[in-house]
Amino acid sequence: MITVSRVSFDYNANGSNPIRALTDVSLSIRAGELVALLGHNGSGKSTLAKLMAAVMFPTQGELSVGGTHVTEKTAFDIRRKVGLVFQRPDDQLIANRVIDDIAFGPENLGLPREVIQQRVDSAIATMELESIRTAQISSLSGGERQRVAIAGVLAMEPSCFILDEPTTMIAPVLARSLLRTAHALRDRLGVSIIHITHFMHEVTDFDRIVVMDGGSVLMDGTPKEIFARSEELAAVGLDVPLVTKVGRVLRSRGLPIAEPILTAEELRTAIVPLCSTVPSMQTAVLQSPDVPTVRTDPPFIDVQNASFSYMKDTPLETIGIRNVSCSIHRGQIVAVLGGTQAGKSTLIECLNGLRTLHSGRIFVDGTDIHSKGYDIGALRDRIGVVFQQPETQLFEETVGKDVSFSPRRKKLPAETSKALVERSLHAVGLDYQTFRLRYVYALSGGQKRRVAIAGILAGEPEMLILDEPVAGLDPRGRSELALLVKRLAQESHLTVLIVGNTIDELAELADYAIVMHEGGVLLEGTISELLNQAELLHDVGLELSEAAEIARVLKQQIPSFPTTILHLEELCDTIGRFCTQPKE
Amino acid sequence: MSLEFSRTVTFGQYINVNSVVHRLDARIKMLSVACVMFCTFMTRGFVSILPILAIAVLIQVTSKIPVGYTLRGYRLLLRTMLFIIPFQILFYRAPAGVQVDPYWQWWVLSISPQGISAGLYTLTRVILLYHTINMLMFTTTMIDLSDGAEILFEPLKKLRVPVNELVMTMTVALKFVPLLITELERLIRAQTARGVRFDTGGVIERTKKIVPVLIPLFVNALNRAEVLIVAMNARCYQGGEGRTKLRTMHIASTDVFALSIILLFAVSAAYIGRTFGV
Amino acid sequence: MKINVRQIVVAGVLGAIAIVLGVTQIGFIPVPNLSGSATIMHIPAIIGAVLEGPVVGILAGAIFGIFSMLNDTSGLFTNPVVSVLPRILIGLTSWYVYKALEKRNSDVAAAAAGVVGTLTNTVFVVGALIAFGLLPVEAVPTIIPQALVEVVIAAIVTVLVARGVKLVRSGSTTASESKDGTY
Repeated sequence: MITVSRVSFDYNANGSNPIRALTDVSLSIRAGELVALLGHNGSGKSTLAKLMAAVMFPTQGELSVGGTHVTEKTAFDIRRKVGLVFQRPDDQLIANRVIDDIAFGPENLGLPREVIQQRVDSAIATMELESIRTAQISSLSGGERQRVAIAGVLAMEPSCFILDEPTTMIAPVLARSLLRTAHALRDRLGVSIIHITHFMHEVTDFDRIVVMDGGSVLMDGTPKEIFARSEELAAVGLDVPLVTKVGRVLRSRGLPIAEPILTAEELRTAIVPLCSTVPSMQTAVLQSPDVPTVRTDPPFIDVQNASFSYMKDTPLETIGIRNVSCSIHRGQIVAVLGGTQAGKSTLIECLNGLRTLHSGRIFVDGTDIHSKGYDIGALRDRIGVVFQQPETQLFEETVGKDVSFSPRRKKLPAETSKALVERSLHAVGLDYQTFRLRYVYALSGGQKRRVAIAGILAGEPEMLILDEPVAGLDPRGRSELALLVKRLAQESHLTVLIVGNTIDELAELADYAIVMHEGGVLLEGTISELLNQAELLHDVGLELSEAAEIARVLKQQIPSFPTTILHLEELCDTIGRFCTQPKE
Repeated sequence: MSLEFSRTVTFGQYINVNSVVHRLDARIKMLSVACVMFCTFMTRGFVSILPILAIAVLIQVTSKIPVGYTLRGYRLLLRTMLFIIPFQILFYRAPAGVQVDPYWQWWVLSISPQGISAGLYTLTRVILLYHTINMLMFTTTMIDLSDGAEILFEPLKKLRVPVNELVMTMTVALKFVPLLITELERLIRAQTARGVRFDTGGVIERTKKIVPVLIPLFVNALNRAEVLIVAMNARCYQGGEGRTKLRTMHIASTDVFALSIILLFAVSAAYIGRTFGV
Repeated sequence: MKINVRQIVVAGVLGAIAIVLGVTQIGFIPVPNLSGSATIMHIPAIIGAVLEGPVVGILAGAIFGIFSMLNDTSGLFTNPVVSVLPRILIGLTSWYVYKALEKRNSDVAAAAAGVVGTLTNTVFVVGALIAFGLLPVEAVPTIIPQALVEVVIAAIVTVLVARGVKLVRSGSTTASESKDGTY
């Protein structure tokens, strides 16, 4: 179907300083194959995708699609055969209404009206868009937009789909549904699908995985073959799914488990026959929940029955938060967790005084922030908020300028201001001398995010709110930033509030966590208390850590299996206890 | 400063009630509007403008748009006119052959019945033009307007005017409006949280505050443009040549009838104005 | 005339910014004079001309013009000669000025483009209003404070945005040390 032979590609190839993106890549994709293209940012996978979709052309080497050689002359024919789905649907949708956007491609092909109509209808049916076929795209949810984007490509009737990192920026629930769609398209239409991603756990049931690194193909094989080579993957900073590691640890401890395990279900099948019906007694002892220290000092922030609605008193009224009560003490690390539309972002906007409650009260240090004459500006200085994707909100040219925005606004003396910038950059792990004159746009995504956090820290807040701080980064960026946030939260003595949709290593830091659902507080307590209700959390769209998710799946057939598990070690030990067969 | 643009701001003013005017073909409506506007400029006084007034009343009634809704749109217009019309009256200069008998006069300023009449005539004309455009916008969706424009201006392609490309530019702009509104909202929220107050300050201070919002807005938007260029190429867009359309438009007998009536009234207005100057 | 995909998309995005500045009222800065507020809605057209040439400037200006005609609230812009024509000229004049001065100093050129583009808008809109009898010549002085504010804002914003975008396109990573040694 697609043959790539000895392809190299340079950006700015004719310019003074060409940048190499691909070196001597050879690859072939068969018709009807479901292939994953894995690798870090900068590994060349997106460049390769653009070459295969004929929106860029190789500097050296040759590509052919369905026997046609890819050149600028044949580009139009190639593009109708190879459909490209972009990372963000907003980047590729063009028309205002669903039906018009799906028709855009076929219209460009100059097809007769009846044919366009028929193709649009069938794409709408396949992607289950009947109910929104004439809706305005701007009124759709992110998941719906993605389905429209795919339908638009589908209507071109391509023989190959390239999905360019569609799961990086979206919530895990949506990512799973997108992957189901990819499988369905392949199974029903027989098209080949190339899914580009950072995430190993998404591709365990693919036909084939191609791993890229530094502009070359590093590995090419079935998931079983690839994941068996975990050392080589680790050498380039890629990780096998946690469940594969669990399988390996258990095997090393003498359990008869085949290599490699790819899914939690597979692990469950392997373990259930080994399990004693009654677990050994130790588990019960280890199960005792940690007792939260009761704080008797007055809370820093006290929210009482807070409610806020958007477009209040209009037919379009939607609830932001309702009847939320919670209190946060000085120096505490608090996690606010929940799926999409849970009200998390609304809550932090209310805390910061960006929105005014419709009922209820918020006290900061005992004073009602909605009382007359309250200095809301001073409140915003005390509570620093790092919004989602803060890197898009940087506005100064250089790092130093952006970080110094708050000190300069407060007209602090130059020396104080400089010291603050230095300290803030240091706190986010960026060297002052190296970075202060660096242009903001030239930073990587993760670095930009650090700069944005430093900008808030330079305002010397008493409390730091981080709204989904690692969302939308690649796995390497995620783990680096998570480490940083961990250090900040533990060393800075700030009160920290972390908002997220996953019980991950960040949520785990929290002394106390609140789970929100549909604008209200659903659960609260320590993380391990929450994990006792793993199934409920799963149902309200909260993601569990990989280990807890495996535990949840195991529990479905081993009812006494605990779900209060956060780490690999813990999971392996627990499984070990369940599987220890009495010798006698 | 509002943080709810994306929820409160609506672009395009289409009001979804099913009326004869709503169902008319967009091209017919655009032609009618062009014709009414042109003929309004041909009127010369209160007599010749009467047929235009008749059209306005006719459209208002048949469109089923509540009169109150239409009137609410006049608030800002009246504010502007409250500034403009007195100027017109005070600085009235009579055309040749018109006798002026002022109530009051000082330097070049005067108040005369002729001046007042001319001011009121201007006001009427402005209101009628405004009403005509508003009725088009109330009864026609943006998509029908741009589709209609594409077909209507089709003959200009012969003069090598890139009609399809112009309409596509408008489509791209309309696609980006809601996205950029969300973006702007996010930028303002982030700035507000960093201690900037957008609702205070004089001209200079406000300008200073708006610049840090505008720069990322432009830079991010231009970055998104780069991605959309690739996306349009990947979706086989190659300009208007050889392109077909899914949507079609049909001229029905009601359309012809409506256009005839409007033409009749509008042309008679222009004729009276030109011939009799009243 | 041939318009390519790049010009369509960039002009569309800039036109969208003009519309957004209008509908959210962000594009109006209150000026203490009779006509209310200074506008910055014409700036995208100037930036289009500076960054991508006259075609993009003209197209972005046309979108701004059509929008101000269709979404008019003042009653003054229903006539396309008042609302659309002057806005088409913005891209043309500001591009000319930019092109003429670019070689000397691109910041000065961008500022000059901002000034000339703004004046084009003001002069032709006011001129058309006078020609159509909507504005008495004597009312012109009341517009001057507003026009001055618009000129200054446009010059500043054009320079900063043009610089920002060109910086991104240039690929350089580090700024040079400033005179006072701060950032």
